Amino acid sequence: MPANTSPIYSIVGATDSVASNNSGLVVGPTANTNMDGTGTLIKAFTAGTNGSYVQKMRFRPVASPAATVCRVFISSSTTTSATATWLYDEITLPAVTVSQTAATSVFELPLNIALDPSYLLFVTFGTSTGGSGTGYSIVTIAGDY
Amino acid sequence: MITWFAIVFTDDSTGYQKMQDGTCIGVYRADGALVSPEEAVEYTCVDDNATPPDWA
Repeated sequence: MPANTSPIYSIVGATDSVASNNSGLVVGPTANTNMDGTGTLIKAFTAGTNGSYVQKMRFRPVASPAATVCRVFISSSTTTSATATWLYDEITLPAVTVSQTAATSVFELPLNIALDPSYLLFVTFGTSTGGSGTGYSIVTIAGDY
Repeated sequence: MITWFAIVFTDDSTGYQKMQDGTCIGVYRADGALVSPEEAVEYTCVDDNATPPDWA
């Protein structure tokens, strides 16, 4: 007997950003090449108490970041570790030159996953994007159940 | 065009990230030892227009 035959929908939006979780920092200047969930990870999103549907992450360049790869981790704990934190996906981010007369490219990573209650999304970068303030503003578009 | 980022590893040692046209082509310790892409390291850029190292 199936436990649930009816689709469910999120009840409220749950947009979150690395800036709100990291004191407004533009992320990218710090690289972490660990791929097992260890080291310094940057929190991007926390699922609600009933779980969340995460649609996508959106990467907006700030200043003129160098090329890098951004890795997205799912973690079952705020204390990240190799057992509780799992590499989920990666996105290639090319070098971008900022313009004051044209929009810079924006990059999106589709996720479309139902995240367990209180699970978290973290990101790391494979190489540094530049000096302080040169990197990415990352916004996660989601809804809480 | 080749440029260099000055970087600081989490153990406070220094190094360089070698860039070519905005793309990293190598991460080095201060003595010029290449950091393998498979090696797990953490570092932060402190100067994205650094003077090239002597061994470059």
